[in-house]
Amino acid sequence: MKIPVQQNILNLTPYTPGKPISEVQRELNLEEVTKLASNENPCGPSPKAIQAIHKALSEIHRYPDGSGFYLKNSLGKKLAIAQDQIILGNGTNEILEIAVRTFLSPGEETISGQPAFIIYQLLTQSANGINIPIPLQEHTHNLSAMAEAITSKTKIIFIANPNNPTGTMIKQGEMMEFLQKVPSNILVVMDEAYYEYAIDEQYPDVLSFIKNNPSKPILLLRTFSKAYGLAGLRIGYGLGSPDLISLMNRVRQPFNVNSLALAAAQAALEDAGHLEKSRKLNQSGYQFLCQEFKRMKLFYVPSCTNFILVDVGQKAKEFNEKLLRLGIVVRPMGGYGLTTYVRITIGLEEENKKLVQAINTAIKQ
Amino acid sequence: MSIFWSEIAKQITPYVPGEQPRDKKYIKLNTNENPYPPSPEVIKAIRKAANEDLRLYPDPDCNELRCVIAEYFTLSKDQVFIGNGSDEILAFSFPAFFNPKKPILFPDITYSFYTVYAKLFHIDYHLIPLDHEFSIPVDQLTKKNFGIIFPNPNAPTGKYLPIEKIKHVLEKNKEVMVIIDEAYIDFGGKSAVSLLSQYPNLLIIQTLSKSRSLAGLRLGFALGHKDLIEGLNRVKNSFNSYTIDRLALACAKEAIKDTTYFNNIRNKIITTREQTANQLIDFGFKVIDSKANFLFITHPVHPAEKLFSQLKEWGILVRYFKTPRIDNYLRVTIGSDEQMDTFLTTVQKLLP
Repeated sequence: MKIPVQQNILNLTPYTPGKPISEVQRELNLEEVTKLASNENPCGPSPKAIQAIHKALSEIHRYPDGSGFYLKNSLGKKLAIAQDQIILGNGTNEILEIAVRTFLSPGEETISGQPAFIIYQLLTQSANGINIPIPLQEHTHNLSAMAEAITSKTKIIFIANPNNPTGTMIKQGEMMEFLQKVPSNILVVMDEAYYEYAIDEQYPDVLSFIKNNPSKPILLLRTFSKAYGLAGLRIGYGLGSPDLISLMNRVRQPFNVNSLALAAAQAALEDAGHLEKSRKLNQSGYQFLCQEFKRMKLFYVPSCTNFILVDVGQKAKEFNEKLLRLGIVVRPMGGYGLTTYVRITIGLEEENKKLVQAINTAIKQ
Repeated sequence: MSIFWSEIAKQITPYVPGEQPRDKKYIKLNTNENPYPPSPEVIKAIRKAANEDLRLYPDPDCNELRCVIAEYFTLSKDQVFIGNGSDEILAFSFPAFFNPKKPILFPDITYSFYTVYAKLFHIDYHLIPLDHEFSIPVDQLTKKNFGIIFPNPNAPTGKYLPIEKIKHVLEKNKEVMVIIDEAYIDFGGKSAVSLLSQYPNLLIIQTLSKSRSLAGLRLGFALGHKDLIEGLNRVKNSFNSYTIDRLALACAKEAIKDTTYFNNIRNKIITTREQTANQLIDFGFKVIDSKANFLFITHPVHPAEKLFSQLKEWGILVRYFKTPRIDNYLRVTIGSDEQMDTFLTTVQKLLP
């Protein structure tokens, strides 16, 4: 190609997302496929969210409300936080992108866990920054090593809590100690995509820390893609000090979130019953699967999310293909350096049973 | 917090979208939205897709939609890129095709996002001043540059550049990227799509927000040589694979396919535009010749800023830019016939 492309773009290896069901079905000529690969909520979205979409249709030829007033209003009430401390994004992924664009200058460093969500690395690279990966310790973020990795060039620290793909979490005491320790000229991005599933009493209250420490730059990210069952709509939110949010709003495109997503998210947020149902189903699914993994003598990482990282004792890529042929899609973790691990989303009761059966078969093959 | 701000963030003045006040019900002629709803087929498709499956991530490659768009323009699927509004495609295009320290060209009066993105991505730029009739002086687009971007029709003027002139620009700029933002092309202009096969350096960006009445859903697309599309995909997939939601994917196909409805709506808007323009000329306004769904107007006696506030008091929102050269102009979106009647009667009342 004659057209010059920037070198940092050429150096990127794009992220490979999980395959859509239809594609797998077509490729393998399968009648029924159970997708337990992308940590989507098997209960689906709240029926109220669907209703809200139907209701919002009459205004679809108008631009969305660029400020997201009504959704922010609901979020503000629920979380007891001011509207100017909330930013909305086309998925939290977009908010991550905005944060990097706003704060990271070329040559500056970011710190993230290894393995963690791969987008942290890619975003750093695309902004001409340098990512410093800190290996996890016993599948959990090693906060003291991350603190030690801070240099004069460090600008952003990414922490996913609970972490993906391990499903582990950092506890309140340790997290608070870390947040106090990080100098105030470094942004800590706390990615809580699986927050709603983390029911452990020790799960840290970063939101209160943000409220009580306005001078500490912390960006807390949450999403409607997981427990709220709206992955298909692309909507997430970020919370931080008014200063931080207002800077990021300078970089945000004015109409980044579409109007149907705004309406659906607001309705989903207000349906506490549906969220509780999703959580309960996840809990019983988790207990069932852990029991089965123990019975099959498979090592798994205890999880506080809607997925489990499992060591299948053979090459994950090959194991994955065996499962695919049995009509089950999971996520092999070779790309994360976990060559014998797969990540399995907790499904409906029936789906979990089907999965256990398939694993039993695949292991013997 | 300023120590904390990247060099880029410091330089940005964010784009300011048209106001969306909540104090009362306004006739909104300020954001160039289509006054008509999308095709009934579009609504049907959204209703059908708004189900349990929303729990699933969308197809990150937008395969089906790309096929439909490719077929519509007689291109191949790998010549089509889908974005979360054409704004997002612009945001990907700057880092994908332009380079820091190598200045690009765009008009001095144009879509203000170009300056925002140039600064965000450290791209230098030279502004090409529009002539006194607000036309893009094509001859100045032949000077040394490392990329060109402009809308056709231009915003906020509505002025259109005929395809022969576009061809002239392309002939003189075969070694650099030329991006044409055709957000408003369906209201009487001729798309440069026909030139794609001759110019592998041409990228055309269109949107479903205007002529296809889907501003609320955020959908734009780019057309170009497959290598250019691959460049956009590289950038996109380094940030965010799932930019387009399931409902948008489901209904956009129908919006493209329903050509009868599309032609009907855009012809209606063109007719209303011409009628409105004639009336305004009768009232003494100077009306810039428009091929968009808006008019750019000025009055020799009545200051635009004052008219803008007066109209707002009467419940009509139009757009006023306090920008040199155009600070005595108003941009008026073409609404329904009924809305334009109210607008014209109100204007007439305000002119003594």
